[in-house]
Amino acid sequence: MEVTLNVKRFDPEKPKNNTWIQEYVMDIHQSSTVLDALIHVREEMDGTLALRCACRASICGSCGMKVNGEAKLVCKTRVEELSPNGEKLLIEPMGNQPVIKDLIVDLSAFFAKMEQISPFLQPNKEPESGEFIASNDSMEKLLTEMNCIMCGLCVSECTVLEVDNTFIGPAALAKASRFVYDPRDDKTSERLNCLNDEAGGMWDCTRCMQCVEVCPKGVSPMDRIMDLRETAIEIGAKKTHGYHHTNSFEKSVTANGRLDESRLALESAGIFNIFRLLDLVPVGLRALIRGKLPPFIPHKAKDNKKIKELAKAIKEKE
Amino acid sequence: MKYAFYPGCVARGGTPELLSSSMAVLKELDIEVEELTKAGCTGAGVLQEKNPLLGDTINVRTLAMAEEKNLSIMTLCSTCQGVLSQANHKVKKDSKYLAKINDLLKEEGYEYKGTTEVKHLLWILVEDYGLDKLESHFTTKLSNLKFAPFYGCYMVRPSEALGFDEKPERKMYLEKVIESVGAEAIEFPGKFSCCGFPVLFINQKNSLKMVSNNTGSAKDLGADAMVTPCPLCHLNLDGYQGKARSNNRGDKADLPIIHMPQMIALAMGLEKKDIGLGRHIVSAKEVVNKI
Amino acid sequence: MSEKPVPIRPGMHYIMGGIKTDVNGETGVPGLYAAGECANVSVHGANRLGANSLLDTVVFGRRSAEKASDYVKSVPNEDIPTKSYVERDLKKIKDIIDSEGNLRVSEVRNEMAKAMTEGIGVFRDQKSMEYAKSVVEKTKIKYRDSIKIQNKGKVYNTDLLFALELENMIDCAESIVHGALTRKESRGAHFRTDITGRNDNDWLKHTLIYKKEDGEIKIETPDVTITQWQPVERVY
Repeated sequence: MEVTLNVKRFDPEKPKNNTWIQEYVMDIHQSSTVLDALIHVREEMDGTLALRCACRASICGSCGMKVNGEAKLVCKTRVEELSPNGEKLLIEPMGNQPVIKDLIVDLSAFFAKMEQISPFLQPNKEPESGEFIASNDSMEKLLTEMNCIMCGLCVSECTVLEVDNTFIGPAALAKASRFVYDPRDDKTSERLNCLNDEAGGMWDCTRCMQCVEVCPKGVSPMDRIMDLRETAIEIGAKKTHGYHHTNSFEKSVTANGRLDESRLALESAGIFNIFRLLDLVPVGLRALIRGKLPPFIPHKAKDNKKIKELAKAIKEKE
Repeated sequence: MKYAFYPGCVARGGTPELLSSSMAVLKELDIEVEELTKAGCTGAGVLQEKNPLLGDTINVRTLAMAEEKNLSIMTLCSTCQGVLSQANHKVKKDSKYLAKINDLLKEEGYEYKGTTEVKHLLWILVEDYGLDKLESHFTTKLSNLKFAPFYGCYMVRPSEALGFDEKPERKMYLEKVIESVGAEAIEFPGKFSCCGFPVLFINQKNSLKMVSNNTGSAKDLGADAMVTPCPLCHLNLDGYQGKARSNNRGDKADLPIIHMPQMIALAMGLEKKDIGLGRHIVSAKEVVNKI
Repeated sequence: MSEKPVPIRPGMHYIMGGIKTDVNGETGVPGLYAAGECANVSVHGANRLGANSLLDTVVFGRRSAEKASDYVKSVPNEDIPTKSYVERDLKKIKDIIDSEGNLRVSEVRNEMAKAMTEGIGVFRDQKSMEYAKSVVEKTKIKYRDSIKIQNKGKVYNTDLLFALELENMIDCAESIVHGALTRKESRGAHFRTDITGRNDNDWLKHTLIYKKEDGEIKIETPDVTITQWQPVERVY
């Protein structure tokens, strides 16, 4: 079948016009992946095209790039699926990371963040029997986290990293959860306290789910971040704005059955944090004038007592 | 046509104009709704961070209420739509988990069997009502206007829970509705991105950057306004646009953020007070003037 | 997908041979250590069993690294005269970049790969192996005289990288055909259709291939030292 790839090129050695879109038209086998097509370009058409790949079977995580704007492993993406009627495919490098050449991005920040979470087991003492034994059960629970192949697709699409590259990011946080929930690791609270920090830590995630959507191995980084948050609250990590936000949300829903935005805003900022409260005032005042500010007397769901009872029942069961 | 109505906390709180415009549109279309007044907040994914079981239980309770009435649920909010869909998806896949939740709900007399469908008004208009029929209610064409679509994360992700496998065209509905009112839906690359609301109270700097990037780039692409099916996106993109734009781009808030039902109400020529554009922080006067 | 045939073919999964090392990763060259799949500690024989390549990493990879580190500490830290080597390699790279052949590296490589798959793939015999050998010989000449590369840049030049890789691939292919032709039996993954069955009387041996400076190949077949574990046939 015929396929047309529009590849975003970048050559840092060119003095000017170093970014352009190049079109490649070729004949490929029906079952070809986008990677097959790109390798075809590199080998048969244009040796100057640079791309990373290795295993071609979605285990090595080298060939992450954007296809029609969505981050994918191109070895796991079949041409026919995206271009059933010969539609052109747009191939670009991953996002949120500097481009070195063509489809190759610089992953140093990615790996630096991985290092930041100390991606190795840290037991407090020597094993009694010569080795640390982990139960099958405990390892099975970690299968999702351990599936990560560090391809960087989640980082490419992260909406927080788009505006703030100090955010530690979905991949490193998911990796952190792999160690937090490993029974052989004894640094749970140190790890969580560190990631609980105000700047760049776990609370900066907006829960936009881009990472969940693009992860080719079902790691669901955002869900791992939610696990970390839950555990951070449980172990009583430092009370950050994120903590107050979640806590206030729970209180509001269990008390009234509904969300109370004004209370959420006040409590997230911290009732005693005068400066942050003042910060919310200008918008609040304008909203009040326009009749927009949520009612100060919270709106309640009818039968809100039932929700309170449910919350109580769940607490008792635990 | 009748639905179990789940307006959500924000339509009942911070964005009353969403509720009034939606009710006016539904009345015009003769779509009947019965509000689930006893239903609780979905938890918006936040409650789920601390207490996932409580979040899921509250949502399954809501699903059971609609099931009892043999009605599909209508939502007005991307976040409500997403979180209810996720809970629905989760318990449909995991019968043990559903049994555990049903056990908690037993005392109140609910038992969810897993048959309720949850649909945002946007989906209902396209899938159930039909755009042709919708268009027959329009008195004005908004053909002078260019709108940037902004879906809100939970309307598009995770696609697995939102039925995108069977209905991939759900990713295009907002553009379709914009075109049905006669306006132009601009190619807006940020249409599936995050508005920043979830971190507004946690990391305001990042939140405002998102507001600025989204509204600024839509404006640069020639949009007269942004249309969203999510009131939480509206709250942030409208309420904080001024601060966001002056902090990050050094310019002024200039992009009205229109609730999807407001746009439809404009094309229907409904009452000004129901549409409620006057309640926005970023003035939508220019949009009205262009009609 | 489920309605159409899926193209399937065998693929290379693991290299049983490699650079000969002892249990500490030491090769015959002082200071040169090998680890991982490129090394051959002779634990797998002619058929590496499932999951056993972990030995190459967690056991012998670690030992290799430790010994290499010990070695570095044990030798005097004096300036090594690298200039001539750097110059040699720079010239090699320049020669490839300036080469004015008419064949793409991929074309030459694919030709050899095809012959290796056909001649020395899952099943082989004297004739097929000799065919593979003849193609490898031709490939050597093509590589020397007729390749070209299109990318002349200095940043992430994979065109150049693949040319350098091809040189190494030719070395590997050459040792594979020589080793296979030497062994007059079937054993493990070396499955000959013309000489079936294992022959422990004559072939309980390693095959060592050396390449001399002038390119001449030397083959040795020392006996296998057997201690605790007797070789047995894989029956599953």
